[in-house]
Amino acid sequence: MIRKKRFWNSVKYGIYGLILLVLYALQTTAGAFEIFGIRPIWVLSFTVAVSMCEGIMAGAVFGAVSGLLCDLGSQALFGFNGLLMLCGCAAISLLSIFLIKVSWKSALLLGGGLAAVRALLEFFFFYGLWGYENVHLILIHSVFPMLIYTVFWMPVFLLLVRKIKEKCDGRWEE
Amino acid sequence: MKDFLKTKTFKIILGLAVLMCAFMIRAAYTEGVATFAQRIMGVVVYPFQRVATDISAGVTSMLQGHLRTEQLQEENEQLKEEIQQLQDQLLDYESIKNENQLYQKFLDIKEQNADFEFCPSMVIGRDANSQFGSFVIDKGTLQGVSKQDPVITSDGLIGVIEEVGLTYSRVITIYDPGLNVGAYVSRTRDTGIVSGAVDAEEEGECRMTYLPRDSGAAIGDMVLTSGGNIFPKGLKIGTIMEIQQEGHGVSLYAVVEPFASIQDVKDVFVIISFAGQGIEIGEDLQNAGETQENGGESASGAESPSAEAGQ
Repeated sequence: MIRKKRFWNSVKYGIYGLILLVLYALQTTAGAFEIFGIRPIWVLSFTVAVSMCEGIMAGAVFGAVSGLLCDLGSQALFGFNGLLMLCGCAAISLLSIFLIKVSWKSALLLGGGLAAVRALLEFFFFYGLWGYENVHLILIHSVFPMLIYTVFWMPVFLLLVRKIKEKCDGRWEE
Repeated sequence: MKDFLKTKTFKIILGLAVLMCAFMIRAAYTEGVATFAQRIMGVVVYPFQRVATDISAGVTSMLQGHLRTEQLQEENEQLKEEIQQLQDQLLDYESIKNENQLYQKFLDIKEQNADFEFCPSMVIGRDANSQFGSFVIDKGTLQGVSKQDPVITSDGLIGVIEEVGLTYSRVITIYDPGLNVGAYVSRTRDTGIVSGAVDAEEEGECRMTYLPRDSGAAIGDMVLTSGGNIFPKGLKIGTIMEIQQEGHGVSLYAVVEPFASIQDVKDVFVIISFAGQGIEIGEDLQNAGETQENGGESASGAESPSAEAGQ
């Protein structure tokens, strides 16, 4: 029974890992799922969904990994998004366990919150702080649309993670 | 909650947080050179990015081909298969022709600048989070690319390498307000600094600042790099579209439209070596005595806010 559980858990986390890498590749591919030049941060949406369904440890680890993936392609200091997502996803897991019922509405709320904190912190450190002219245009034309597009995918990924969890957990519970 | 703070899970999360902080400190210390952890992650994600880029290109050309075929179907059903075959051949031909043109241009640049050593690269990633058109290319330290190497196309200057890993590098473009490029107006020889501006980037333009008040620069004049330790002299940047007075009234600035199509560039060349690369301005002036033309380059990206921020 324990061996079976371990095996199906490994399969489940393997699938999550693979999806994360594929989503990262897609989100960094120019032109893929782009609307008016805006692309979503899919790894964030997916990781929040994992955090809501899989508990604190999985949430924190996937948060850290997806944050580091974001750091790899962005101008942020390597580790900045990793730290932020690690803390954010661990907090989301805690909230999902103790306070908030896991649903598509809470996914929108929690995912939107984390995405907003991350985007605003990055905006502040990399653009706002340096006093560039008309810096608010970045917020209006880039940051906010990206936030909306990212949050839009939250329920989709929540559904996907739930299905995978259901399938894999169902196998060893049989 | 107090119980959670005593658990093994909390201790592991705390350990991970410390690790992230260590990554940040290490990344800040290495100043743009990818850390070991970044290199490892870069190697892991590179095949996925490469495959996604190839699939994206394949799907785009397939869709284009499909749309053309549909139009032809309406006109003549009987010739459908033949037309599709011809279109496939045409796509192959276009692809080979484009490649040929690219290398022809590469050869032209190489002939004009014998001291340049190039590394042809492909754009493999444009992060959704990146502003100012920055992108990732498929060449890194293994191919001889290093930080602050200029990146160009056959049309003109694109930007500079901001961070370099084993098999990838991140490029910041001339749309970035943090990148300053020493430049001059080809006709009047007036020098200035080309850099990005938030509002100008949206229009696909950048700015040339610190032009003298009595500058004779006019709309349509060509802007070139003035040369220095980061950029070689004479790289085409763009055309002047507009000239305005700076807010403080001491100097003028020009709105410059880059020659290179930065937002949708797919293939670029990294200049991994050129005569004078890495030589400090003072040293350069002493050696060559070129006092006039090296004037603006000292402000180049190395000390820019975003270059600092990105490290």
